[in-house]
Amino acid sequence: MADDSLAPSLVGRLVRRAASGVSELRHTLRNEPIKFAILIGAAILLATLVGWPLGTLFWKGFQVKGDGPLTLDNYISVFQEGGLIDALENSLYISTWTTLFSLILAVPMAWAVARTDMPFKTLITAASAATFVVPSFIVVISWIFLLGPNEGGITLFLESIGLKLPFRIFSREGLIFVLTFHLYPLIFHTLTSAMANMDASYEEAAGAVGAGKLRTLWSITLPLMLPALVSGVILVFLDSLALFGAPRAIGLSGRFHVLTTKIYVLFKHPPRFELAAAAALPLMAFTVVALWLQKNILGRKRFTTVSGRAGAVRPIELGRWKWAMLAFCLAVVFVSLALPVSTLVVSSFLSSWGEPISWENLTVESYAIIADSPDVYSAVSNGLRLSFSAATVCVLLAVAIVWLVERTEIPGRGLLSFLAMVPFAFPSVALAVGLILIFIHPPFDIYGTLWIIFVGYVVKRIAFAYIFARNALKQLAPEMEEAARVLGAGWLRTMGEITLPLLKGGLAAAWVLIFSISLRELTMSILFYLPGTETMAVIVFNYFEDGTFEVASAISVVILLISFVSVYLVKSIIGKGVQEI
Amino acid sequence: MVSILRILGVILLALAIPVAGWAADMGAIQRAANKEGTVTWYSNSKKKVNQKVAKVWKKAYPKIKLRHVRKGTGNQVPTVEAERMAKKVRVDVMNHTDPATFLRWGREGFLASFNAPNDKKLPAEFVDKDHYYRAVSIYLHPGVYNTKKVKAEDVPKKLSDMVKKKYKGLTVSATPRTSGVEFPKYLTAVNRYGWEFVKGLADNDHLLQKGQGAVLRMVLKGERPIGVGNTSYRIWGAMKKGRALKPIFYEDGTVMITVNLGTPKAAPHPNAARLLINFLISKKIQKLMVKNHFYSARGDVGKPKLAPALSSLKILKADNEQLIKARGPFFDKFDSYFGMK
Repeated sequence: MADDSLAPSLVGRLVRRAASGVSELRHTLRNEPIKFAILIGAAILLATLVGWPLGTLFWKGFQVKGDGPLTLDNYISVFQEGGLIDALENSLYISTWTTLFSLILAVPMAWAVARTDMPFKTLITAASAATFVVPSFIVVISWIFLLGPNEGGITLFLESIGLKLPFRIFSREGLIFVLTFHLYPLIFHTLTSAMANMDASYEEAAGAVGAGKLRTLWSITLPLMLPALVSGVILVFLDSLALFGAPRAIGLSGRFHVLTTKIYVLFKHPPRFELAAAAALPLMAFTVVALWLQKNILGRKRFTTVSGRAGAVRPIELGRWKWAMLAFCLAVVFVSLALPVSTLVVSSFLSSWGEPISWENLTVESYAIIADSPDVYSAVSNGLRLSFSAATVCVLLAVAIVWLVERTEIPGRGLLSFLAMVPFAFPSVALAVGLILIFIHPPFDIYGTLWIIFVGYVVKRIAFAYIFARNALKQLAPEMEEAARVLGAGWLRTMGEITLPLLKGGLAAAWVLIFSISLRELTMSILFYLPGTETMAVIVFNYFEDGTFEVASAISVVILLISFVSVYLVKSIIGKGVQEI
Repeated sequence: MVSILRILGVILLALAIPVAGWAADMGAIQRAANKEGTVTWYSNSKKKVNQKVAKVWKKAYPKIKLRHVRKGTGNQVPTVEAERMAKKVRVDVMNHTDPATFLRWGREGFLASFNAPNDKKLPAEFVDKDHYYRAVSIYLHPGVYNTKKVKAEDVPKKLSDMVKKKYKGLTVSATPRTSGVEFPKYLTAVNRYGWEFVKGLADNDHLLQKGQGAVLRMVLKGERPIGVGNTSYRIWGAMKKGRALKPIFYEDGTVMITVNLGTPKAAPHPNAARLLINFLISKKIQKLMVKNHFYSARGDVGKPKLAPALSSLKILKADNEQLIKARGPFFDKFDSYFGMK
């Protein structure tokens, strides 16, 4: 009986919500055509860039060889593939521990940088963003040569003092180690941007009633940061599930598969792209579960910590502990950035890679080769332009989509959320194939140009901007926007003068991360590139594959420097801006 | 009368169209290629080699722009297959190290048959009987070792030596699943020694890598000082730079790899593609390939400087039919010995 009454009431609720959304759409079209055009335009753009290629891949998945009669054979054959369960188990094990260890590193770091008087905060922030810039295949190569069981630099050093590494680099634990130090910046940046936006009066109130710094962090700061924390966890978990380069290098040597390497097997000899969508289903399922968890964990609680009442952000004074926190942060930066990068720097000055370091084996020839190579200049220029544009478009598009999802009742918001998030965990090779299928034909014939690489970057990384923008908007009390509207400001003016400036910290963090990750993107770039469209990662990869390791290392160092300076500059400019708000 | 003229016209036109078994009219092809004005070439060769080829091409055919893209076999095949699936091929000419894929492409009707005049200069075994593809270069897949880490007397003599306990934890190779050149090597090894050979390697803590470049890095660094196999041009290239490496030409045979060259039927610049194919197997370019440590299938251009004469070695060749048929089950079984389901 109860069931009978439930169904109609649920349907009725859905119908009422849809009707209210449609009426809101009509109202917006009539009264605010610019707002309507921007929001609907953003939704259409997202559907075109993400929905169309992925939808096409799904459709091909229902056809024999992607071009025949309809069948379920492809989906059945993927799930009958031997070892899929083992790969899934490995993926979950690795992602869970990577996320947990990333939390342990990132939470104290973020708190120290965003809320305390610890020195060198911009340096720590820029260094953790730079960790992201080094292409992951280079990070893995560096770690293998540092931790290799026979000749690894750290292995030999530890053996010389009678110690032993607690794990083998060629193992699941080795992969967890590499991924943790590669991915912790995702949680770090999500949290710092949210903490920087936080109204300091909550913590001051806790202090006034006698709560200590740790208790304030535990019972005030972290609960208020829950949306950012959950987002950071989702980003690290999904990214470690979706990564391919590091798991391939370490998994092959360690003799285990994860989901992405298992999927890759399906694309080889001969490639069976019609299986792409089917094979990616488990990863997409995790994205859906993550979105569902996020919705349920956060529920209907309010996390608005930017209410317009805040005064100047006063950093928490740590006293002597600030040096301990700095030591912790520097240790993380040392392991995640300095160690792998130092192997690159040393390699870039060697005349013969693989030989011991000596005066005879040192040279600056690799840098001279770079200086004489127009290819490198063009790749640096392409990389910077692509990354800059992709990061900017991702952030702008995400703001519009998040506003639609969070501030309207328009039907289909769940689908928009899904479209923004799903490419994140979708295997890059499969995504690239989907994009080629669409963007090789008129009227969008952009295959072979920089545009398709740009589209690839936007599609793959829109999730970052979406998550950061959503967090930032959740922190923002809607009353401030409503007050502006009551005072007669239009939607565009309210967005420009109230909403966007208050979202600036979160959006800047998203921009920096997308910029950094795009600079080193390889999987899609290597499939898309034609003469004149090489990116930095492609050039480095080709030099490595051609056996010119010294030059490849030198280019990597140059890329790293450029990225570091870019990120440092952006953080300095944005940081100043945030304080001005 | 009119119909007789029409029939004659059709016959003459048919004669003018180059088909398999008929040598192509390169003059007509060049004139048509000049109008096309460009040609796109996906090549697995090093970028530097492609650039040198492009320089010679520019002098020979200034009106046709050569767009060369260095794409290793592992990235090239998926790119071409994606273009194929989209029904809009962008590549005009491709060469890579996976002979079974060329064989499959030919059978699936993807490749254009083209009897290049220079096909005649290649021994028959290096030209597909339907002229879908031919060998643009050849290399060997010998073992390799780090001369600073392995004493000369400890170097394995035979491929089968690699499973001996003295080499436990010292060897590395690329997995046949992702490295096009590794499959023929392991297939011939299994044909000769059975799966016991693969099991022996797995039990010997043999390390697998994704490709030939990664294997050479491991050997050079000494992390794994013996490579069960690597491409000969890489080894000689590294030796020329003074790296402490030497190849191992196994007493029980060294596998030969051919780099094949072909053009899709749907190539956007079919005439320029044919011109490029004939150009790439010309004497001038083949000499250039030899200078860059590749063997040539042509008998009139000599051998790479550091390389032994092919006649002095015991050469093994994998059977293309077996390469196609055995592929999937072979990879699965290979992986299972290494504990990867």
